[in-house]
This record gives sequence, structure tokens and C-alpha cells, in this order.
Amino acid sequence: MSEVSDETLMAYADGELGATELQQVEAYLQEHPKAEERVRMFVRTGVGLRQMFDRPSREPVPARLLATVLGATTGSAGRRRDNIEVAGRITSVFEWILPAWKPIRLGIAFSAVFMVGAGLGWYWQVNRVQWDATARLAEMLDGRVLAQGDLSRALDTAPSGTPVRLVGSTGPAVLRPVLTFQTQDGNYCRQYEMDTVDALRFLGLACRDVFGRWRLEVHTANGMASSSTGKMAPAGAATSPVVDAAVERSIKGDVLGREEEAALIKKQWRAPRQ
Amino acid sequence: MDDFRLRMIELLPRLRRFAFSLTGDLDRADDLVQETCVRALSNAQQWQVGTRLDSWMYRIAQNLWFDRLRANKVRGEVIDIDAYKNLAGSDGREIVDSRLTLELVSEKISELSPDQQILIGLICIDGLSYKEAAETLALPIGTVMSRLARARSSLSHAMRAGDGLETKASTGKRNERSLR
Repeated sequence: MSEVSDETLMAYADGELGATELQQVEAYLQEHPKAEERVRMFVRTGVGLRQMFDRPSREPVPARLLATVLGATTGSAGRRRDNIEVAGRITSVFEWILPAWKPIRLGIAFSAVFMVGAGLGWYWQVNRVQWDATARLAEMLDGRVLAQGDLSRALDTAPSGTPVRLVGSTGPAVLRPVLTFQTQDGNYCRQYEMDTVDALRFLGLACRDVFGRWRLEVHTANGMASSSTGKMAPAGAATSPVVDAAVERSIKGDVLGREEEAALIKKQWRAPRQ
Repeated sequence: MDDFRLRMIELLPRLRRFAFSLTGDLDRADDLVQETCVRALSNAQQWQVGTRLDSWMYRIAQNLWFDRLRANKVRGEVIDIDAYKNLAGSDGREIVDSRLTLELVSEKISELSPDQQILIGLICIDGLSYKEAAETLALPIGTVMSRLARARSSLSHAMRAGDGLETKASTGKRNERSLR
């Protein structure tokens, strides 16, 4: 085989070659150890480089950067209402903290207004592998984060207060619906808590859309779920002002009673005829 | 919330990684991203709807970083190795080594031409395909490939030097570049 160009060796290392070219290059490499050395160099400067600078995709985007773009100020108590206002305007607040991330202390978490389209969407672009794993419990569609698989089923069927085991991207998690209510628009929402195997507690709010899908409006890390003894904190111990604000904003009337909720679950969330 | 800001938010993680590859330090990367966002917001009218926001913002980040490097050359910035040493956790020296390798490689990335740099950012750091990168930058795919191959050749020297640095540091020799 004639000389193979540097560009082709690079494309080989990057997995950009078609089947025919791939075979040709592999045959060539067997007889040209120097070319193999070039390929190794391209792997080092391709995948190698990506791994080297991958740290930002394993950590949350700092609140100050989001605040800069949102035009909000973080940190001061007087600004809290503004942050909620900002969140309100975009209809959804979303703090998606992947399990690999460190838990954010409540005060910071509050000013860190993440949005739908941010959390998972970012990871879709940044790290497809991570997305695939996460996709088991949620997916991103048209800028919305929708519950999927175990999470969707649990929201469909578990009565409030009942813990349900889920299999998440990095291990098992326990979901506990906390309460159910109807919104001003007549849709149903459920507030939930989720404890992951790495002892992170998430609080969130999922609302059913007109297609019967659970849309995650808020999903926020609320620090450690377990105490130093390794025991889980009692249910209901955690609160999140972001979740509370989202509930307050959309609730019509009162939280649903046990029977009302049970009837809805039985009827697969079809509203009773008025 | 306008579409422009939303798209910027979506871009933040990619922008952070690009900035990280330029600065070699996450705090500095975040400073750079923040400046980039401020600049982009104040020049929002210069961005044309329908064109790529990512390459536009990468260019802003590049320019800001060049300005910073130029200013530092004049002032003579000193890297504080003690800050690394005091990091909580495992082997402090290991962290110092890998940070210095990172900084060395990103220093080399910073020395590449802006055109090469952005290709490294889009393809090697972001993982875009050659075709996607070519579309993003409105370049022929052949140009993308030849520029990228050249850029990676020069980078590989720095990365090999980085390997050497680790070996040297772990045998106890201090790295003069970072001592205060």
C-alpha cells in the first residue's frame, strides 16, 4: 500500500474512517511501526486530551457563571426573591446535580438557579456517555426534562410517603413521593425526595404534561441524606426553598388527600369529570 | 429569558472545558468564562442570529485569554505551588504533578494559532466530528484535518514533556518553573 497521510492516521485514531479505509490503514500499520507511533500520538492528543480536560464536565457549572448570564446576583439574602423571579419567568427551575458532583450546601444551592435545558442538555452535548446512563431516569426533549423508565413509573404509581427503589445511572436510588397537588392549569404535580446510593438527597417537583409525561420542573440537591452514623435521615426532614417556591407558584387550593391521590393513581391520572 | 441567554447557558459547560484547556486551571477557566459571558452579553448585537454561537463565544474567550497572557508577560505572573500543596486529600505531590502537566499542555495550547486552537477545542476537547467542526467554522473538511493534524503534532511534544516532568518530580527534583 502506498504512503498513508498524517491526516488519515489521525482520522483512524479519532474513529473517523469508513470500513474500507479502516482496513487499508490497519494493513498499513502492521508493516509500518513508525506510522503506529503516529497513531499513538494522535490518540494521546485526541481522547487523551479530552480526558485531561474533562474535569469541568464532572462538576456543576458554578452559580456565579449562571448568575452572570441570567443577569442575577448571587449570595445576598435580599436578592433571593429576584432569583425566584428569574426562575419563574423561565417557568422552570432545575438543579440537576449528577451523582458525581459534590453536594451543594443549601445557601449556595438556593442562589444557584439552574434551568431546564441546562442540566441534562449540557451533558448531552458534553458527554454523551454520561447522558446515556442518565437517560435511564430522565430524558431531554424540546428543552424539557422528562422522567423516564423507573422514575416515570414510580411517579405514576407510588402513593405519597411510599419509598420506591429505582436503578439510577450510578447505582440504586430511592424515590419517595412527598405530596400531590393540582395546578392552576388543571395538571397534577408531585413533590418528591430522592436518595442516591452515594448518600445524596435530591428534592424535586415533577408535573404531568398534557401527553401524560412527568416533566421535572425542579430537581435540586439538598446535601447529605445520611447522618454520620450512615443511617438515612427521616423522611420529610429536608426542605428546599426552590422546591417550595415552585409549589407555591403553581398550586391550586390544597394538597390532595390520600383517597383523592389513590383514585388518581388508579385512573392513571385522568382527572375526574367536573 | 431571551433565547440568546438560554443558548449561552447551554453552552457554558463546553465553554468551561475550552477555557480550562487554555488556562490549565479551573478557577482561572471560570474567570475567563465569566469575562467571556460579560463580553458576549454586552456585544450581543454583534452576533448574527442563525450563525454559530459556540464559535463566536470561543473566539471571544480566545481573545480575552490572549490579552491576559500578554498582560501577564509584562507583569510576570508567578504560580503559587504552595496553594497546590495544601490541597486536602491523597498525595499532594501527585496533584501538583498532574496540575503542572495540565498547565504545561494548556500553555502549549495557548501558543497555537487561534485557528488551530479552536479546532483542538471543538474536536479534541468537545468531541465534535470533523464534519461538525467544518460546518461550525464554515471551513472545508480538508482544511480542518490538515490544520488539526499540524496542531496535534506540536501539542504532542508538550504532552511528552509533561510525562517527563512527572517522572522528574516524583524522583524528588523540584520544578523551577513554579517555585515562588
